[in-house]
Amino acid sequence: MNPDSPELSLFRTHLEEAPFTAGVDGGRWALVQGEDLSQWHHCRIELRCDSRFSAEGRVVLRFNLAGYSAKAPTAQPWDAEKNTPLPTARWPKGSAHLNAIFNPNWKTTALYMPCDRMAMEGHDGWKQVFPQWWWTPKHTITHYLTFVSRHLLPTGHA
Amino acid sequence: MNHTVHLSGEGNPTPVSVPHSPSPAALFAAAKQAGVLPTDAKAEDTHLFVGEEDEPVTADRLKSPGKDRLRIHCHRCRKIEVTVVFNLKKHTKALAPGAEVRRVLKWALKEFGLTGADADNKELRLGGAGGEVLNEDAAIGSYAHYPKCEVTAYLVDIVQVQG
Repeated sequence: MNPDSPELSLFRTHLEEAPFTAGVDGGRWALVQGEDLSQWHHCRIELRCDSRFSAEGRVVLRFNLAGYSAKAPTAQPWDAEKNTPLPTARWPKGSAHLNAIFNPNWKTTALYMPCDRMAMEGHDGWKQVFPQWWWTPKHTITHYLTFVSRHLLPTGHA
Repeated sequence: MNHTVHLSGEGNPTPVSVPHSPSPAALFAAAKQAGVLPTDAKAEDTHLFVGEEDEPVTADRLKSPGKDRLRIHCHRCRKIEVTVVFNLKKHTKALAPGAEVRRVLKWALKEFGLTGADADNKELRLGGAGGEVLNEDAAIGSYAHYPKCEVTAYLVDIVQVQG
């Protein structure tokens, strides 16, 4: 068996740490059942979603974690059963914030947010607007998940 | 079964993982070593709280963790006086240091009568609209610095991604 790459090893460590497990224990996110990281640098994580925004009550994100954590993750909504991109008709939508993040009119392969690698390109101004959310190598996957989750499952309604 | 304890403490909203120990003394030592308590903290002055429980933990409680992951917050404050400011009005409540920021946010939204979309787009920040965003998973005690057993947070609109 090949040893884990340093990026995968680091990612596994972050999955065991308290910030990630807090979200798992709180029912906000989890690795998709059966996700064994064998398709690294891809990884599928499902996030719970308010039923106002998605009838399915969840959305799966397929992450591209190449260069983790020096490089920011990028993720796209995913159909875990068919193992294909999620049709845009099934993307979460409803609040202005959520519609800005899950914006298929911008791209169908990434989320529009200050810690998504693809969205960060060309948006240097977000460093000043979202200084706490702009991805840096010290961040972990939980950082990305926290940003998305607070819009999928707003505390005010949970 | 091996148990893991997630420790959080004063001035540090990011918890750390340590092997579980049924002894409050051992957990206190682990908290100092992990940096979630200052090195000059004394055991007799420090309270350990399991999760969001209002009362400090007892040795018996630690012997039966019940879960394979136990969250413990260490603090020299017994209670944190939390004030939330919104539109120049304030509400204050005393909470155990282990109470999550998420619980504070829910309480504040209710106190200020915010519902629906108005509630969905709110977050808590220190110092004002441009201040540090409080992590909803963090214990509120993580943002208090003993001997000041208080936190003032501002309820503000979440900045929308655009541009």
